[in-house]
Amino acid sequence: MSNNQISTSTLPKSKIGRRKWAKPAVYAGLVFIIALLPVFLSSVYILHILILTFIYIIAAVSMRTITTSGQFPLAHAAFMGIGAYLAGMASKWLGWSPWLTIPMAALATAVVGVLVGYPFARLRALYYAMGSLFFGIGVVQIIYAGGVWTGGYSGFTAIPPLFPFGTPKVSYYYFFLGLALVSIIALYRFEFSRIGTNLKAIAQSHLVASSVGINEGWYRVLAVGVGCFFVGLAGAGYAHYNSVLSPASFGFMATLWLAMYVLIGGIGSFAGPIIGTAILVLMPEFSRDLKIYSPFISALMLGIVVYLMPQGLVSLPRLVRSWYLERRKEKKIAQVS
Amino acid sequence: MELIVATSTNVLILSAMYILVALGFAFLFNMLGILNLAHGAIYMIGGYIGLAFITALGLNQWVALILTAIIVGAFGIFLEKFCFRPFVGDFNRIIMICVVITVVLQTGVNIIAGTQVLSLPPFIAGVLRTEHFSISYERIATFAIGAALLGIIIWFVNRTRWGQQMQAISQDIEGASLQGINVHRITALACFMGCALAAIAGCLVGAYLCLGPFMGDFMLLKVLMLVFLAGIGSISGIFIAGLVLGCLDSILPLLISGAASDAIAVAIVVILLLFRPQGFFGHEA
Amino acid sequence: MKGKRLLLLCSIGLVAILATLPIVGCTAQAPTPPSTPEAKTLPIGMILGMTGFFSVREIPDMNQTQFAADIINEQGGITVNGQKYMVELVVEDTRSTMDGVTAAANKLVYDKGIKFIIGPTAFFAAAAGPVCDPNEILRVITWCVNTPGEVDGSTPYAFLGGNGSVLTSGAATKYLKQAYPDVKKVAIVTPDDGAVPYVIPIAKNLLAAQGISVVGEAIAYPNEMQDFSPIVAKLNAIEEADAIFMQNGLVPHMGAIVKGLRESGNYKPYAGSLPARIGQVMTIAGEEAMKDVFSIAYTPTDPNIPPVAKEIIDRTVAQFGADYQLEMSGPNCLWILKEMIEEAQSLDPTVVKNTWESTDQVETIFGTAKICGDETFGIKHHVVASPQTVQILKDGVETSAGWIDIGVIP
Repeated sequence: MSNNQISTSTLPKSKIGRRKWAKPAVYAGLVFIIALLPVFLSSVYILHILILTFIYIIAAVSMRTITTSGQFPLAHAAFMGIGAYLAGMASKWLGWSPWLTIPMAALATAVVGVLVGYPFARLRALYYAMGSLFFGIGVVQIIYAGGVWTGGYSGFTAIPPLFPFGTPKVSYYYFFLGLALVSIIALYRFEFSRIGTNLKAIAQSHLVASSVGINEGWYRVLAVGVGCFFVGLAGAGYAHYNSVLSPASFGFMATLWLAMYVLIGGIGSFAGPIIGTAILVLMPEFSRDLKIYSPFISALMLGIVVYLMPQGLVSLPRLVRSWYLERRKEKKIAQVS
Repeated sequence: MELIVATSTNVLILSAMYILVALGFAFLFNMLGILNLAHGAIYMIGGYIGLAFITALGLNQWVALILTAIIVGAFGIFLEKFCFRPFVGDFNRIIMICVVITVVLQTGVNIIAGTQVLSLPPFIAGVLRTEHFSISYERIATFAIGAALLGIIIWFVNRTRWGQQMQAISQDIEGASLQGINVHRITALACFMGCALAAIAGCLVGAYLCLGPFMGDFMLLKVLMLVFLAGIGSISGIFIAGLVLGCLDSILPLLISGAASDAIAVAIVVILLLFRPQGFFGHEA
Repeated sequence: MKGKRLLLLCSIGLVAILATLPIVGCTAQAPTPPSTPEAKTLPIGMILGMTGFFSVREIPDMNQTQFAADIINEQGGITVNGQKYMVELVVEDTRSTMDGVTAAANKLVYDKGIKFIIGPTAFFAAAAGPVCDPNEILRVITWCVNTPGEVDGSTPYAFLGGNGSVLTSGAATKYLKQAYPDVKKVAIVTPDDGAVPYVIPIAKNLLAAQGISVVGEAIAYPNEMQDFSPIVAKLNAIEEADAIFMQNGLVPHMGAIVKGLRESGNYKPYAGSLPARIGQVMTIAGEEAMKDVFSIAYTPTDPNIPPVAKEIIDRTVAQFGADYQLEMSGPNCLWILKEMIEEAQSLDPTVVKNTWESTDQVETIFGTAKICGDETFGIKHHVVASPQTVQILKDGVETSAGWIDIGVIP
């Protein structure tokens, strides 16, 4: 971790040592608390919402991974749909076990993602956004036109679940918590590896990057492939958890909402999508009492973040701290003068 | 014969509607690089405001149309100043604010009027019946209004000073301001026109079809396809792309049954883009 | 700078308030109704789309179901083993998405411990099955489009109390034969919503039972279609058809198709087997187009409405106006549920289920109905075939064209 962190802190040497593992300790603590939640929560419904949150966290973080290469995937929900439908169809029509369909669907989604990203790999990033947008629209239309095979507009039902019938929801909770952790760690290592640094270089200035010898097209396709793999994984998991799929969950509006999850948290930071997903998935559920007015809550949150926290919710502690430090400085100046 | 006439009119009307809405989107996109994803919601709210003028104030449809265009245009200026201008260049925040606008408008309309099926009264009632075909005056009026507006826009963009200033800004915004063009004012004007056009299209479609709080979602996707097919920075490309999309949407369902017609339409657009990623008349590759 | 700091403070405050919503949501207790020795409460869940595109249909249904609950309570509630229970409707929003259905079902079943649920509607019902059926929660579906997983062999605890496309088609075919006896061939038009392979064969059988045959394949249109001119053109091209039969669909679709047909000079009888109010279709298509068009919708001014339905409709009109959408499937589901619970004299869903499956007829808000549908739905006695009413336009006003008893669906 320390080889790509330039420390500008003015702390004394003894504190730097402590700082090094402060962050991972906090994260481990958080994970520990989340893992213990089912013990304290009596509501199975909240477990269900948390499971959905884990699934969408994988989707959101993988979306952000693609954006680190400078491209904006405007069809990410459609790839989730590809993963979900492939897993569902293989399981329902071919009788494959969910433990086989999930990795298979993730791989297949990655392959499709690479095929879609390849023609645009050497063009301006805007073209990937456009191309993926239309591809996403096309995927939904193909699902509609799929007749009995995909269930069409009404949805695809009766997908064999991951665990046998009657398994308590807690098993699914730990499965998806584990899946989310594995995905997050994998994507984190990917982003902070050499490859990830190269991607960021391409995103900042592709001319300079290629002058240093980074093969722009190859890296872009790689980013798309990795991102699509994980979102396909999320989709396939979702299919085997929910047992029911609806094409509307994977359309353009769904992609926009995934983008909102990423953006409200903060696209510049790795933790951003995680926080953003948690807030934007949990908030509508807890504002159910507002009934027909509940979409306004999400809109309000988005509005606040857009205007006041351009870096996303992740930047909130930093903003608070800088505001506090500034006040302290002003007080000191007032004291002195 | 009947089929040919019917299909041709459908193509013309659909194309006109798509082009009207897409022009508004394209103005903003060409000049400021902003993807106004809330344009579908503006189109929708235009239809509802038009209906409100007709039913609540008892105005004549034509007067309501003009008033709606002005009001939604003003809303567009407001949007441009407070929602788009602060975020120019920041794609992420633009789409966030567009989602906010869309959700607010859609939820608001759904709460107020969502449970009813609403439609604007026809602009010209009656049906023209000849021995070969019959077509409602409303469809003729819709196409006529659309075509007239498009003609006015073309004249405006090419012949008037303001229009040429708009073209200048869309080519190079810094160069344009260096030439003394008041970028803010022209952008506001473009936004006014764009939103007014979308509102008029919303009223027209609301008259010959019907209104729904989510009709904007569908139109937004069509507009996005149209604008990228036409190419960035091109206004004339939008006319051609609009015609292409209108043809696809009118002719394909005749040949292909069911949901597959939509899928094939999108597939054709994707193939066209693969062959020519910069669109028909795009300026860059 | 001060202004910006103030804004930041306000924003933090707002975020803090919004962040505490979860805590509030977690710990909020549902108000406990007073439980007297005479009356306890029976919470009955309802899963509906209160936001999103489906709310156009679901919010009226919810309101009408509430009226039905009020009427039941006014009549003394549901009596089981001498104990009276007042009905309390607990509604959860699905946001018109499958995800929302699952979340709502989870909430009702696990959080609120509800045993009887009304809804969801149509293909949304399939999403609630995996949550409800393993937990033996009895559901009464408000509308069925016969896709797998709604009401069939895989859903032992799901019953159909409202209409379904099959039931309205049954009524539409009977009325078509009755009002237009010369019609021998029809063209079918339907939305391509994934139910087509399941519903169209059933519709064809129902038509054949009335001696009507179908010309060509059913004309399917994409669900999100806005401009129906190509569909109208296709329908016009089928010259041998004596009438047009619409299977499923929504009011905007019907309005656009009827309008297009009439404008192109096609005045063949149009059978809409959907509960689209003729007045609303007229808003889109114009009065002149509505000649020889009918649908299976409820008319407030109908003198022949059975008493319970009439009461619900009267209350709807009184509170929401005469133009309010009359769905009436939710209230029927609630009423049938009440009847079945009282017949079984038990609040155990499994006992009620068994009773339901062994009963042949039941009193609904529309009169006596047969419980049937074994062959069509693949599960014994899960479908209630309530009498349906036909609506036409007469002298510019919505008028009922009579009631049809669809009898027993095979």
